[in-house]
Amino acid sequence: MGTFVWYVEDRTEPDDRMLALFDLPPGDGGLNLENALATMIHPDDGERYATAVAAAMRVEGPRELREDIRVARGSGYRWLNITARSFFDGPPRLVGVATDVTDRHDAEERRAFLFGLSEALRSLTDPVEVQARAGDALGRRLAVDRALYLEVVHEPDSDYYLADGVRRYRADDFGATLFDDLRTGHTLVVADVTTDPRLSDAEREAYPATNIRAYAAVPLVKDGSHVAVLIVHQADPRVWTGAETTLLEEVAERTWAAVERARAERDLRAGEHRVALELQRALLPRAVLTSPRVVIAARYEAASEALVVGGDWYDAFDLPDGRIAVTVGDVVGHGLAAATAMGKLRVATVALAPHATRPGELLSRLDAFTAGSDGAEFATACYALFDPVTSQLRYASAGHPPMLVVGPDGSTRRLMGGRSGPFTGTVKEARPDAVEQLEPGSLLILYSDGLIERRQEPITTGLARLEAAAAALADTPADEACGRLLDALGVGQHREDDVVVLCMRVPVGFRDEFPAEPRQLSGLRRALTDWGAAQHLAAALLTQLVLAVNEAAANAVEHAYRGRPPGIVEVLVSRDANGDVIVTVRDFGAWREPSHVPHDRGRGTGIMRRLSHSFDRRSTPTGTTVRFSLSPIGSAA
Amino acid sequence: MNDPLATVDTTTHEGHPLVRLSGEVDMSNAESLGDEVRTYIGAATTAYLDLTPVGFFDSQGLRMLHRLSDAATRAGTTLVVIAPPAGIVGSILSLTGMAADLNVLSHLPS
Repeated sequence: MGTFVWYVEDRTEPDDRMLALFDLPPGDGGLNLENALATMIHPDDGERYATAVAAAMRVEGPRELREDIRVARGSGYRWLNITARSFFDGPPRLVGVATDVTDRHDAEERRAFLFGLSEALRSLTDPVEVQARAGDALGRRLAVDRALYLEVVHEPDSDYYLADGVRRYRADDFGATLFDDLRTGHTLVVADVTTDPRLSDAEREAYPATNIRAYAAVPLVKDGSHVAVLIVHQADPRVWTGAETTLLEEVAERTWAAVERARAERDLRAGEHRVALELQRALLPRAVLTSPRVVIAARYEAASEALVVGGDWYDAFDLPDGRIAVTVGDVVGHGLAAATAMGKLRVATVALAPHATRPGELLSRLDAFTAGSDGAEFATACYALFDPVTSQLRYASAGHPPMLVVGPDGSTRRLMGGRSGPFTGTVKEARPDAVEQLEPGSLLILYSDGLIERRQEPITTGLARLEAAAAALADTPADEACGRLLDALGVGQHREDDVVVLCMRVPVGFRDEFPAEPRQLSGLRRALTDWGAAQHLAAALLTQLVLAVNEAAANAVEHAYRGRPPGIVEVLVSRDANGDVIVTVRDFGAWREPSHVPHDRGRGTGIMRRLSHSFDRRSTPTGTTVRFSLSPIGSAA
Repeated sequence: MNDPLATVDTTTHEGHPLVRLSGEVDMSNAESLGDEVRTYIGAATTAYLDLTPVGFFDSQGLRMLHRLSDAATRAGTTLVVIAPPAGIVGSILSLTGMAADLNVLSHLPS
């Protein structure tokens, strides 16, 4: 601390300590404000200081001076705090003290720098980026040629330092002794590699190629293991100050913490993605309904981007009244929450379906469900009930893209009825539904918007693309149709969202399959009677059809799986262009029928032959197929 | 018996056993229905089997009729089958020509 008296006419009476603070020898007479401002005070501080002095010398002012200024000393500057009071008794003058506050200023600046660095690193998610950003900031702060945060890989021959996850440096090449010391946790300071006595001549030769002449390195030792190093280096000799190595140590700790935090968060996200994906798969049906009457297939494709797991779902199931429910939905959002919400909605749909006679009613019930459920604030879904006897589809949509029907002739149409808004977690007005008659053989397509949406493209374009692809699927089996749609819409290449597609083929005629057991026959007769009634078959023809099909199925039950567990019997009934009823009954067993039949009168085969025409039975090692036709005008007998 | 498909009602007609079958007869129940009918008829000189109310009848039902008829013959019983020609059973009997092997009446004799 130095003291001074300064007279307004610009004459200063400093003590020797004051002179020393201004880098002047004892007794020097050159310290006055004009000199100081011109040659000693930092240019950035001069004007502020001159203004403050003038203010302190006003009689009506506070008569006080309190300023921090930088004053040249040696090759740099020191921070001085000048505190003085003005007096006007006698010659106007300032009487005060000057104190070196460089350490306090440096500490404040270091704190500000470290705070800014921590804030900057916190916003980064990539550990490599954290390392690079820390190196850049430190490099600029210390004005070094390079600053690098390097992770350590332990190999049997030496530690290796890994930069950017790519480049490797063998530590021992740069001084086995030095790096041994580093490994134990000591900061390493080398002012000049050409003269440092701790380096061997051989080790010294490793440096010129790296353009490193001086460096300082801070090791990070965690749980007794050397995990990383923060190193700054210079192409010229450089003496590293204690303040610099202290800063280096603090930056190293913060960088390590930020890297580990980013790494843990990344692992967490990766883990959540995996869990969400597993959950998504677990919550979707293992296999969609394989209804004996209707063939349904569905596919789910997860998004290709690592962090995106969506909330798409699909399902198909039987209802007690014989109708078949199909549904596709999409919870907005991604990740674990969306997958969970999806699972809840899907299960709710299955649980509520038997209690809702209309699709609109079911969607309304889901409204009530989402209103009482968190995590499913916004979702869309379509839901349809198909009656396999009448081929009538009753459907409704809650903000979902329209279902598509592909006719047997390849024509396509969107089902635009029964529309209402998405699920938003609030109970809404009653939701409408609509009815569509589906032609035998047509294909019903349900999908999520991931199938048709592309960035920067109106949704109508994607819908048109879907229709074009669907038009080619008139004769494609449902399972293959799903795959063809995904391929045709480029889902494999750029999948930003997850995708669901579900295809249902409307049966051309009657189809049933059941285990080869006697008690199954009554169900077959009932279902076939329903179908025939819906087809408006004449009563006599229907009676004959039921009898003939029953005989064919009973034969399969009796003969196909003797001595084995009952296999499957499949029954297909359709009508041809003449109105003839075409029957196919198949089993997948081996018949063991008595080879000598005295007469078939009164036996099943005889009855079928009398009721039908073009009766044909073929057995192969894989099963037996019976085919025959019945004509509306009467039996062929 | 507890058969969801068919019902067996037993009574008498003019002092003779009368069994009335209704519902459906197929391979799941024909054999047990036959046994039940035969047990009820026993060794009566005349017995009536009324199949008028039957809603479905197939080759297994015909086989059952055949066995009942054979058993009745061996027991010295005259088994009379009641089946209107236009009914379910009447139709299949005429379709298969089996009516000729049985005593079939279109309705119960008075």
